[in-house]
This record gives sequence, structure tokens and C-alpha cells, in this order.
Amino acid sequence: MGVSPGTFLGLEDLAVARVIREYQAVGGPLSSFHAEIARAESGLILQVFGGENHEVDKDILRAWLVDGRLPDYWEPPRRRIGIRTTWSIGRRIADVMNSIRNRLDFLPQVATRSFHSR
Amino acid sequence: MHSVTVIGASALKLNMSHTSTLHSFIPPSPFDLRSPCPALNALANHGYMYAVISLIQSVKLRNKLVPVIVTAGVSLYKPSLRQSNVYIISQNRRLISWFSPAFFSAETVELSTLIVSPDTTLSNTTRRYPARMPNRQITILPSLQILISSISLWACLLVPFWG
Repeated sequence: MGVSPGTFLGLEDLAVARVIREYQAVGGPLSSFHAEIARAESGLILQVFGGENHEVDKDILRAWLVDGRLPDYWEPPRRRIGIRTTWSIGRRIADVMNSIRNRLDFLPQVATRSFHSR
Repeated sequence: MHSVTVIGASALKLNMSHTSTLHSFIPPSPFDLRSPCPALNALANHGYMYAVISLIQSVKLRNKLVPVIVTAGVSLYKPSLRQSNVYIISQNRRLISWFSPAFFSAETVELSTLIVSPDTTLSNTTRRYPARMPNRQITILPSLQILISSISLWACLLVPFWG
């Protein structure tokens, strides 16, 4: 939640959060498979909670991630959410993560090759 | 002991909104099962899923596997799936994360044969679920039943998920 000062979190903010999360990973660096799933989670968060603009309200995300609660004022998405959109968002998140890692030399370079591009 | 909420499917069809009194938020008790996956936890806390532990006859097997049926939760996350009766297998009383109807993908191919590290979620579950295995290891459960269930799930889920 601290990656952005605003009320909403966008794709870049979740990418930053993922870079931090993988840097702190207690089980070692993520494999490409796990990293793909992790990015898919962020992509689904953007779609399910972000509405059309893919911007997630911090309060909703906090209630969902921390408490496992769906706030009353949250409205479920109206469109169905499919794999292909999620993957494309995951690819965009991967691109942002790579650019962040390239700028920050102290971060270990994690395998960036996409799982489904093999 | 597991504290499990059982809700009939007919009742679920009446009002599936998470704002209804039927699905109001109930925080988990210390005996409730929760997973590293926040989507599953939200479904469980709002009464959208229930475990069928009692249906397993073998006590030894019951301690290892907990099939969970997610009934109406898909109406919340709106995956490209019309109807869901999804079995999610857990080992050592922990739900396997990421394989809910909300978090589907082609990776669900290996649905119940994989255990994914908590490091893959943004949810801060590291304290509750310490990573027992490195992130590069994929554990294949030895049980043949799990293998069979994964294959059947693969066949049932892959086509409707592709949306």
C-alpha cells in the first residue's frame, strides 16, 4: 500500500509491489512459472477491483488482501474476465518490473523470461 | 477440528450478492481453514465455499485432503466460467492457493498436483504460511486420486475458462 501516495493503485504500482515482494521472497527467487502466476494475480486484481480504468481503491484492496473481506460498496465486475486479458496485463506488469530492475542495480536479476513464451 | 459452514446450493441461488445477509462477512475462527490465497479466503469468509470433509471415509486421507466446493463465488470475481463446482485439494490441512475459480489460468492444468509458494501472492501471508519449499520446486503429490482429479478437472475446466 505504500508504493503510491494516492488513493488508487495502478498497474505500475502493483509492478513495484511485486518487485519488492519478490525481493523479500523467503523461499528464494521465484521460478518463471511462479512469477507468471504472481503477475496473473496482480492482473486479476486490476480487473476485478480496478474497474474499467484498472485502478484499484486502496481501501478495497486492503480489506481484501489483509482481512479477506469484500466491502459492501465494492461492485463486482460486469464483464467476464478471461485468460488472455490477464496474460496481456501480466506481460505489461513484467515489462514494468524489468524496467524497475534495470534501474535498480542492487536488486538481483530474476529470471524474466515468460512462462508461456517458452 | 474444522469449522465448516455448509450452505445449500438452492439458498445460494436466491441471493448471491456479497452484500446480502446470507453472505455477510464472518471473520474466521482459530479453527477455520484459510489459505495464502486472498481470493479463496474472501470466498470462505463470505460463506461462498464449504468443505466436504465428512464425505471422506478414510481418516488418514481426511487428514491430508480437504476437497472444497466453491459454488457461487464466481459471481463475484466474474471469471469466464458459467458454472463452477470446483474441488480444491489441500495437503496438511492447507488449501492449495491460486486454484480457485477466481484465479484460473492455463496453469490450472496441473490444478491439484501443484503447491505454489506463498511468495507469489501480494497478500502478507508469510508469517502464517512459511514457505516450506523453495520457489523453484514443484511438489507432485503421490496420491493417485489427486492425479485423477486433476486430470478430470483439467478436462472440465480448460474449455470453459478460455474466454
